[in-house]
Amino acid sequence: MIEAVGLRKVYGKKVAVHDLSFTVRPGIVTGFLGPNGSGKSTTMRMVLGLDRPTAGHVLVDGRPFVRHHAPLSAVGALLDAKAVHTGRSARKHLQAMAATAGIPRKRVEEVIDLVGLGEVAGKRAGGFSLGMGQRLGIASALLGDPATVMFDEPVNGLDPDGILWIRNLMKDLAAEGRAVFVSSHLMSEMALTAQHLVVIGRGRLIADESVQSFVDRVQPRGVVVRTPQVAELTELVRAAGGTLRPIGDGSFDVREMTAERIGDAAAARGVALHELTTVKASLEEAFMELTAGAVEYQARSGGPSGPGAAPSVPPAQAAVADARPVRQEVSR
Amino acid sequence: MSADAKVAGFPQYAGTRYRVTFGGLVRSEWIKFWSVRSVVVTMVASVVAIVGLGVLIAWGTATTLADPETGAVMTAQGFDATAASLQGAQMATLIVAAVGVIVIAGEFSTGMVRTSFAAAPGRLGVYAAKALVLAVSVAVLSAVAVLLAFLGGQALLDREGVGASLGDDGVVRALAGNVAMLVGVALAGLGVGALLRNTAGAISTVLAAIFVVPLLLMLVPESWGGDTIREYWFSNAVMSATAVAEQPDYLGVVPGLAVFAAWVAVLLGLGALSLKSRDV
Repeated sequence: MIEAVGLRKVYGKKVAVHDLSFTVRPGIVTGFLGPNGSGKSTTMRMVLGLDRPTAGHVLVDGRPFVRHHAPLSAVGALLDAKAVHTGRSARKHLQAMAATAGIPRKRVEEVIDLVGLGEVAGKRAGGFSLGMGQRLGIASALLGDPATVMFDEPVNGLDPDGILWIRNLMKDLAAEGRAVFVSSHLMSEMALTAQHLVVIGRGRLIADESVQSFVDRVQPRGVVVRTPQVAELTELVRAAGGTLRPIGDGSFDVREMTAERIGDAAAARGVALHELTTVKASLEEAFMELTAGAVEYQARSGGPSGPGAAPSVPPAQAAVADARPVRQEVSR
Repeated sequence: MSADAKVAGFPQYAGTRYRVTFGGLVRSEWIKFWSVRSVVVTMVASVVAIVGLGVLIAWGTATTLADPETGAVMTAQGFDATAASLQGAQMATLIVAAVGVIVIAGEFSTGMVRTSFAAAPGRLGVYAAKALVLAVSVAVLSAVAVLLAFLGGQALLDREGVGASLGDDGVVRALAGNVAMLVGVALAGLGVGALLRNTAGAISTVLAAIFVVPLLLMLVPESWGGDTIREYWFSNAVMSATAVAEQPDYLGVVPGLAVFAAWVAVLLGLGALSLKSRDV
């Protein structure tokens, strides 16, 4: 179990993590979601005491991780696949880790078999593919039979079989009563594995809720209406205070009105509708909207008239915002 | 709030608890040390340098002595048979310094250090275990190498009737002094490696300290305290301890070793502070 309270990390002038508080509970998979560069890895390093928080603290089973006498049994971490000496074989790497806490050699062979590295365990880790590196990282995370498992972007570089395997592994680990904390920048991945979500953007907590309530949060994006009576539709929508935009094929994207209101108004005026569809954003879009919101909030909080206010929106985020209407059509 | 974690209804997963111990850390560092090819190769290279160069130079010296003309000059100048066979140890300081740097800076360059510190978050235990494994490995291998170099070199010099023997005054102490120098330099490499976290930068720094700075110090005028600085400088401090006879221009055996040990301790200490306080 992990409890972060008011975690803050500042590198020079850059605030990587802002007053972050959350809890990772045993028995479930908690997804740690945020765009690249949002502070997920920094937070995970602070959990392990590798980076020192500028303010706040984080406890593992009630104590700072650095005060644990059995660290490998407290938290098993896959930080990144590169946290391995490239010149050492996978087996020697695991044996060296195991030796620190007297973990038997038998356990080393067990985790090698578990992650499916048996055939290459004698080879230098430097020659491993990204996927093999991830498997080695997972093997080392599981070595000490830890109560909490922390995986940073575990599906990176894994093939579809590997992704399926790790999803099931995480569910199994949680079912055994362990706390499982897994980061990803992909909402779709989290929707499949996590029961709880901690969402951050630019180092700030955006959401800390169950996956179900996150899904429920997804708002209708608009209503797609198709009609041969374009002029009448335009008029009735405008009269009701809505907006509409042609999206091709004689269809319109109507906003600020529910499908019910559009349908009722059309019926009242005798307008024939060939299509009336409420469009919901995908989880991925809901996630992006949330994180983009954090960015916009950031930009405004710099002072509305400040010269740096507008340019402080990163181009990548702006691109995401621009891309949204297009994605919406696809998601229909 | 976490003390009431159980009360709040969060069960604690009850698996095996594997406690970290200093003995475990030493075993771990031992496995790490001998499972990286570059370290093994470098350690073997240090032995080859000590024995090979020692015997080669002793052979050259014996050849010079065998010639009546050059031999007479050399005998008149007075030469140190023990020193001739230990020339390789000077070269080996370069190599063991690199080993000291590699065992820590290599962890930073590969990211391994995060794995090491996640397994032993106290950090200094890992560092101490590294220092112990490094010191013991260098001490044992260089003791064997220095002894072989001495025995091989003296066997060649004996043909000219000038070989020293282990029973001679100061010989065993000089051999031990060379081993101490090599261990100290390796530990200094570890300290600088922990401080700089960069293999190339740390190796360059240590090599400059051993091979370049002493030359530059020759240029410092005596009125600026040049002689004192030169005597107390890191690698110069063990000049007497590594030779059979005390070197008049340098510190004596015991004070020299004490100054050298202080240098090593300070460098290791700075490395420890850096490891303990900085993010990895």
